Amino acid sequence: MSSAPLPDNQKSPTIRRLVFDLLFNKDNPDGYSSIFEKTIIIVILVNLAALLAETIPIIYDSRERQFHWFDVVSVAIFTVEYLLRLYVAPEDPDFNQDKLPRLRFIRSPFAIIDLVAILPFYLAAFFNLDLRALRVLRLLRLFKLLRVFYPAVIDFIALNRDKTLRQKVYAIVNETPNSGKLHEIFDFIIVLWVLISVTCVILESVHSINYYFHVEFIIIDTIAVAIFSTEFLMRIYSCTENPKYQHWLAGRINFSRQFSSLIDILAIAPFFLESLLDHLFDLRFLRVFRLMRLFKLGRYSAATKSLFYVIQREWPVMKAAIFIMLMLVMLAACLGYLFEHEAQPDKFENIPQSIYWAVITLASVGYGDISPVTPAGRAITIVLALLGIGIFAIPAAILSSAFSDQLRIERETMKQELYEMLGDGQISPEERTIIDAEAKRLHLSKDEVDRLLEKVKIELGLISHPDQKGHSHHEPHYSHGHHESQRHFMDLNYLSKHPEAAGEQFKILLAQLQQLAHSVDHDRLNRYLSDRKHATDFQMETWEYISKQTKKKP
Amino acid sequence: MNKPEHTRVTPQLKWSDYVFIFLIGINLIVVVLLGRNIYIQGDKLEQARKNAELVMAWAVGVDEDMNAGKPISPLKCTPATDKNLKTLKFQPNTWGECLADLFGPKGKFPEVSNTFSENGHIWAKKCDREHLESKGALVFERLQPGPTGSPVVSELKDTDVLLSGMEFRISLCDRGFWLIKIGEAKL
Repeated sequence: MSSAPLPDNQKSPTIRRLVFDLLFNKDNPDGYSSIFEKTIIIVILVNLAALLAETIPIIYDSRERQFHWFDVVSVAIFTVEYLLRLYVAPEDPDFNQDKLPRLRFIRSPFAIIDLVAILPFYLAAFFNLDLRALRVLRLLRLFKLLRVFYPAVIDFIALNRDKTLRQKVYAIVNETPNSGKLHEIFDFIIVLWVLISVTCVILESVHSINYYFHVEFIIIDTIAVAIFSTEFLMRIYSCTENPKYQHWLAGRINFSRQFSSLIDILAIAPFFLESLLDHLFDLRFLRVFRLMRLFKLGRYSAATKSLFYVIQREWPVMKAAIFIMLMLVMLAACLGYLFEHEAQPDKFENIPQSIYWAVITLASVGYGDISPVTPAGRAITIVLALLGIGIFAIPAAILSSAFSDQLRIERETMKQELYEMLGDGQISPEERTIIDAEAKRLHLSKDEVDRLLEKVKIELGLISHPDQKGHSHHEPHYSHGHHESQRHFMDLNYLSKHPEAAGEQFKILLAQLQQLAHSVDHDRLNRYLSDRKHATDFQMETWEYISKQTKKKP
Repeated sequence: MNKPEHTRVTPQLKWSDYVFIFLIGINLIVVVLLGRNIYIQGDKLEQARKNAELVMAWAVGVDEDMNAGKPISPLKCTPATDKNLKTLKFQPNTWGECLADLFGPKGKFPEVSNTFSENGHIWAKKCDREHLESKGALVFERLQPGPTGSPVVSELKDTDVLLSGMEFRISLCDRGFWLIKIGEAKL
């Protein structure tokens, strides 16, 4: 007895299909293709770093074995990746149209690059290749990045075909609907170089490290400046695409006065100034400003933007708190000087020195290098220490409460946006992308977003409240005949935009009023409403009308 | 809404676009040139540092040779012991004589020169922005025990007598005229 073959959509997926969906299918939202891709990128970048480190004898000579094993592990990862891609090629829409999908994959440019990236390693096992030649060949692994970069460029070109150069540059440096993945890559490069250059600035200050890697630090700094200065020029050039900075000159001047632009300038200025003027002035202090590059990351953090906004908003209150703090510091310093100067003229020599002592005491730091010895001095120190706990906590408390307030406001704004998106009763894929981006910005988990979405849907009457057992979750309120009284009222915002829903809601309310008129004690209710304190004329007249109509048609 | 593919035409570049491309190019050229200059200076510093390390190794060797009773090379750098100083006719060597012999054509380091400029000094009294020749020069400073325990640094003059047990510091005058410490040694 033979059974009829199952239709394609009812067949259980093969292992090959599962592997493809899990690791390579970008359209599968439950897959790990993004994580897999990022892992490979990280391995490629670490490989590049290792390759550069191998050219530095002081690093390589003592760790030759570790470098070799790292290379073995990297090649193993790349080989597994290549074999997996080869295995799943018949499932890949790019190759499965061909009779021999795997052969087609092997002949594809990216597969050739993947093979070239690992082949030298295996060839070295059979042939005695020069170590330097092998290193050069290992550089070919960098080409694997094309698998990410090339589609992003093609996608960007397609999205921006009819855009001017300035619009294209604007789309690369800022997130716009036309930015695509190229903008993400651009951001990634900037963030990566900020981290690399800041790490180098920190390590440069360690004498023993700078002693051996002085030239390497110079090369890294030059590359960082080339990248950051190009980024700055791109931002300045394209800022006029932003409606806030439309004028070709005034707009650009205003843009360059922004905090983020000043940070961009400070990130590159030390390089130019030190290169050009170091024989005239001692400009070593400028090197510290290279640490300002870390502030560039603020552009990529929504939390930092919120914090700056909160400080700006709460500045008047903060000013008052700082003023009180300064008053207390001055008072404490004067009293400290008054009581301690005679006993310890070397420590409380003058009021500025006393200010240092007052701040250290009020801030509860208490280094102990200057401490009071007289009874009066110790007495005020007790008061100061107790006051300091409260006074210094005020700005922190203001900021933390304002910050949580800001988050609440932003979440409310997101809720309002959800109302607007659900105006048509459903969330489109584009709207889902916007919601996900906004959720990421507000640090909301997927569960929190889903809960918020459900809450909005309930308020809009698009789904039933979860407490109402046995109700469909997908039917709007107004379509349920006899359960209206248990449901929430629909949102006015939604009703104002949907006359049909408003009509249904009106009918529900009217039915509820009729039910009320049937069941209530008319005499007592009439007495209650006839009192002017309890109802207006309009309310009384409406009630009389409904009551009369209900009596007519029992 | 996106326009149909056939109606989408790539706009022509405007003059402002050309200015932007030109500025990007100029900026990259300037950064590369300045970076190259800094790299060359850094490379020179690297070479100067290697030279300074050779001198440092010699200075450490002097102390070891003195302890082992071996002759010091060059002889003009032999420090005077307490025993020598008690001898009436003994002529102690000076720091200036030692350096002249050390870096002279027949000295220990005839190949050592100032890597930053041909006219630059091989050694200088101090790293001084007003004396450009001191860039890349070795700076020797005398270390003497201070009242608080930490050593007091003073200029090592040419006329200073070389004494056994004399401590000194070798530093390098960087391209920005600040000192890079190479090490400390004892004669």
